[in-house]
Amino acid sequence: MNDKTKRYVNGSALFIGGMLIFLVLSIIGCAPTVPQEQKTGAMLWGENCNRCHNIRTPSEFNDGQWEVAMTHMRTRGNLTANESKKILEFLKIAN
Amino acid sequence: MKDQLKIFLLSLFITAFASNAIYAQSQSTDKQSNKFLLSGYGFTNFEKAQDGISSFSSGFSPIILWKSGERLFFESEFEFELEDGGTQVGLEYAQLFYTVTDNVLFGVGKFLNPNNLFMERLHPTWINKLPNIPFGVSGHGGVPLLATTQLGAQLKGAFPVQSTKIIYAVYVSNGPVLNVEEEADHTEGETPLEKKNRIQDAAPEDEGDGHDAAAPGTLNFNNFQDNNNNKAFGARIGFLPFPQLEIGIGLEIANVGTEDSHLADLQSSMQVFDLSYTRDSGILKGQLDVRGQFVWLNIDQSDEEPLNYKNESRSGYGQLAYRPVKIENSLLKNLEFVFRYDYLDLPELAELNTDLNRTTYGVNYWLAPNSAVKFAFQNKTIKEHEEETETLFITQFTLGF
Repeated sequence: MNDKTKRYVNGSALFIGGMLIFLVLSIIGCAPTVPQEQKTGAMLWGENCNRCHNIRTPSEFNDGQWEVAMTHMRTRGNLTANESKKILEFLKIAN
Repeated sequence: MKDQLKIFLLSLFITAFASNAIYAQSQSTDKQSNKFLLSGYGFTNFEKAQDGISSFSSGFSPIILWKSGERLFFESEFEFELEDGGTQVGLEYAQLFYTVTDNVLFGVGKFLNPNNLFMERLHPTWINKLPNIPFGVSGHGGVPLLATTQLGAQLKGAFPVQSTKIIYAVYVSNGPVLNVEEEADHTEGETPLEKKNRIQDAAPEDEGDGHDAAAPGTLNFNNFQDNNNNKAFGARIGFLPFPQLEIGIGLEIANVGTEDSHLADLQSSMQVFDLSYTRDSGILKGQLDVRGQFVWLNIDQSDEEPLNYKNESRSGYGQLAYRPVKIENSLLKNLEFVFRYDYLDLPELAELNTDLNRTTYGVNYWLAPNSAVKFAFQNKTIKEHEEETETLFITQFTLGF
């Protein structure tokens, strides 16, 4: 095995191994979650938006603007139609 | 002069469009069927490389969104950046979506690559936790192993399975083009290693991040007018066992040679593995954010020079961030600590075979949920003929709107 291969194997093994350990610990440490249909808009807002970026406050946009933004997030963040609808309803009430 | 005129006219168009969009969105009500939103982000960087000249740079990326009725949606992003003594203007993406069902969206146009999770979801500067991007994900970060965008059509969507969620995307696009040497000048009796050294010695000075993305054997992903009738096919599946964690795998297969050339049958195949985990931790009094994306790219070996070598490339990054949001101190709760390791390994016998390893340490101060000042220190190891180390300090001020 040459230097390059060794470095690649070591680097990859370190990262993938580390990620897997973290993954297993995370799964063990997590409580069971609520089924999707039972989640409220506020719960879904916190869970989904925060996965990629800081949560934007509801008052940043008006109802019409949130409707466009949520459609954008449905395409970009792969939200389901139900998640998108519930989050939008929450934002319209909260803004 | 022509370029300056083009930029001026485009800027004028954007300004006019943006003004109209701002007016329209300020007037948007629930009852309107057409709704606009002007969004986007801007940034200014300051960089100082070891033994290099310090410099400011800046960019602005307006995003224009238009929702027409319940099923049609258009999204686009422009990119204005100050580079190479001028203003570079680009169309990052422009895509029209049609909502087929609750679980199926159909999109056409130039869209962010679903297999490149970093670029699809994390590339805006107010979202990316470090001032620059990892190796392999874009031409801005050296040699790309993945397309930033695809030009074609896609189906994508998501559906819940009890408390879990599955995400999918399948696409067909022009796909990448294999960069080849115009004329293969070679010396008889030369060994592959001698040839590699000769080409490297004769290669022009690298630019930017130390790489020449058009080197033979690499892929050009800006394939706006396809070079063959074969289209690239790709797919990604993401699984969320619980809301905080997403694991994704993706693949893409494409013919990369030009139609009717001796390289027409050469194929590229790439596999991608990605991971995202974000969780508020009571014990750690803050938020943990873990990201990773690993790419394996294989291109068929040609029988003829200069591509008669095993063309396999690898890149990836792992990133860990922590922000103590649950601490009462208002200064500390807005601080975020970030660590990233990324690497790029190119084929040993390729003309461009630089191997890169980089570690980055960052501290961010969040002024608002959509604005931050970032400070990062990078240590990069470059292995070509011999090993070199470069250090870089970057600071960035960014705002998303």
